[in-house]
Amino acid sequence: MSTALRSPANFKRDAAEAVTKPSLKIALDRTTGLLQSRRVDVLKAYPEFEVTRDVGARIKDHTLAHLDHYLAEFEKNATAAGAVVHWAETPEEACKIVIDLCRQADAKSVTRVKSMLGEEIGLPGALAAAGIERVETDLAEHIIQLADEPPSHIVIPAMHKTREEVADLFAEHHREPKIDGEVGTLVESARGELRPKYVAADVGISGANFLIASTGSICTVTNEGNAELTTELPRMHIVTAGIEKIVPEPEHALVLLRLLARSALGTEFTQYTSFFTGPRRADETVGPESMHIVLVDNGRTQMLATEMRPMLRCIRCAACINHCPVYGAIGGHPYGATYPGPMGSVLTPALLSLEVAKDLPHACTLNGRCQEVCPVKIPLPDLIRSLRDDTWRRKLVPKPARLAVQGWAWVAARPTLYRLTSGMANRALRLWSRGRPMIAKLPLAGGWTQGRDFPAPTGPTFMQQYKAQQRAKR
Amino acid sequence: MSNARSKIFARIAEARGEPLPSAQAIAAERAALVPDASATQPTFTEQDTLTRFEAMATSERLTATVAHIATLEDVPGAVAAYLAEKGLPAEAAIAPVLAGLDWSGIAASAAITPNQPVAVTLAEGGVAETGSLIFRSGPDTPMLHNFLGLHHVAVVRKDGISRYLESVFAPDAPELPRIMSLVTGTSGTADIEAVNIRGAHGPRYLHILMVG
Repeated sequence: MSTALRSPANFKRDAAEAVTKPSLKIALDRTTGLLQSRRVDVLKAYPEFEVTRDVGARIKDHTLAHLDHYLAEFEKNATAAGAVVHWAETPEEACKIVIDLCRQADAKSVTRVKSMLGEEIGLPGALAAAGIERVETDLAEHIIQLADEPPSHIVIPAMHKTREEVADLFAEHHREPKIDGEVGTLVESARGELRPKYVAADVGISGANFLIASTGSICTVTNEGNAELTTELPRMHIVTAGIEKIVPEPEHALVLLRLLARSALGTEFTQYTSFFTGPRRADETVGPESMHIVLVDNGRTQMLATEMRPMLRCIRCAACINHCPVYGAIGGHPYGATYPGPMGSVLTPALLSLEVAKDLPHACTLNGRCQEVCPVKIPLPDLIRSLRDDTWRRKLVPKPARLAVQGWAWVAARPTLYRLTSGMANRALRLWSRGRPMIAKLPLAGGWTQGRDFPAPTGPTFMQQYKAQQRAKR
Repeated sequence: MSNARSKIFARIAEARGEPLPSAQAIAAERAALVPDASATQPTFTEQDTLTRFEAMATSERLTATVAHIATLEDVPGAVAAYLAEKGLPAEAAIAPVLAGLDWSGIAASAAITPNQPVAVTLAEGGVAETGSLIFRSGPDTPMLHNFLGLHHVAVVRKDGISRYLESVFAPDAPELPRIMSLVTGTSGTADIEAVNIRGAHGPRYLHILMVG
């Protein structure tokens, strides 16, 4: 699926297609399984996690409550350090600022560090349209750039690719590919391919994991060390960041950093955590001559005024995604936008529109794992439920589903009728299953059972069992 | 541009629905956000600072190696020993801050090349909590030396290693440089099937010389 064609409006079609791809299921199982177990292991040695989650949520809530105060402070301090701060309300505005800056720097080639905000505003497409060569330096972004696919995960964008698929891509595109079935050799192949491109780039573009108001610094974290190589070698460093990335002081970033690496990859700390404050200084002979920071709203200030406000606490760790059974079955692409999984099901309707993303809040089992693992305690299931409510009230739920729910509600409000019909359905399902625990094909639900089995009832309904028990007691 | 700024600020104020509190009131609330930083710090009471630093840095995940030397004057000898042990030619890019040492026997260059095999740099300090080294950019401590080499030999004074990350930003710490980098082990990636691999873009090997 190429980036240009995707849309959350196609969720049902794309999800149905995704569940039939065995290689996708293999890639997702290998990766999410490891990430889950590593997270559990690292948290065993960090009993302070629960307290730190509360502190982290408090820091973000305080900052969001005084967002204009801290943004103004950041602007003042970043400017004092020699950076130029730009403001963009929309993705189009943000891209235009970046492209104009690239032209101003006479840029032919730009290197980029993975930034989900950059994906959100469509920067890759804007650079292509402007005829500027874009070199993705994050290994996963490099892989999907070669495959001409959008990211399917916010921390590991090529999560949907198996090592075998990566090997095929490198064999086709690398000047001197190295391939022998080992992941380590593939990494070496990418290192050799990308190293000269760092040096040749005119502009380096990064995102920011945190914006520090009191110092005017931006903070990036990577495990590969590509942020520093990307921003230090070219003439110009451009930062694109969402306005909610701001924290008051460095100590607040440290608290959130303790949460971030543990939640994202199950490690204590990211390998490279860097604070950038302004461009090259008078006494230096290396480093970018100018630094531009583009602060992007794109719907965030609207979220501030709604129930969706807690979503702005998000530090983009992807723990909710890694623990989501729906994501685990379909991967990130069917979500049709930059952010997949539970956080995407909340963010995408806010960033695009509920009309186009109406299916996302419904692609959820409400099992609650996302909220359990969220390092800043975002009540994701509540937000998703609230969006479902909105789709209902705004009549975005398709007619057959509306009728089914209305019918169910009518029956459920009449206990005798409900017990009668549920008892009949229970008996019919048990007969249909012929004693097997799972039902492979169900009449009237062929679409549902196409990608999975339906569990057969293991006995009578709850009310039937309860009544039998009460009778036995008498 | 300024139009976007004023619209963004207007919407933030509107969402709050009440005037922004005074700077003093915000500062007071901010001071109470992290009443006790130690509550968020991992405890390692059983380990002293240097033991923890070394254990973290040489852990399976961070993969650094460590050697102990007495003074800065011992750095060239320790670098020569490392090069010999790894079977590498006797040459290295040396950060200007260390150029004054006696490098006879090693072809020491001030400049760094894109495919630099070995680079030697001086860290400002370290953090035991995470096993991180602290690097500050400056004319004598260019940042690329910490990233371009395949082998990175980093010198750190033992008395510069503190227990927790907060010390990096302590009120008595020097003003922020252009880049401050916390380097925690070697360059790694888990981007293919979440398998941990070393040497993604930065150094594949990190050798730490602990001085003092």
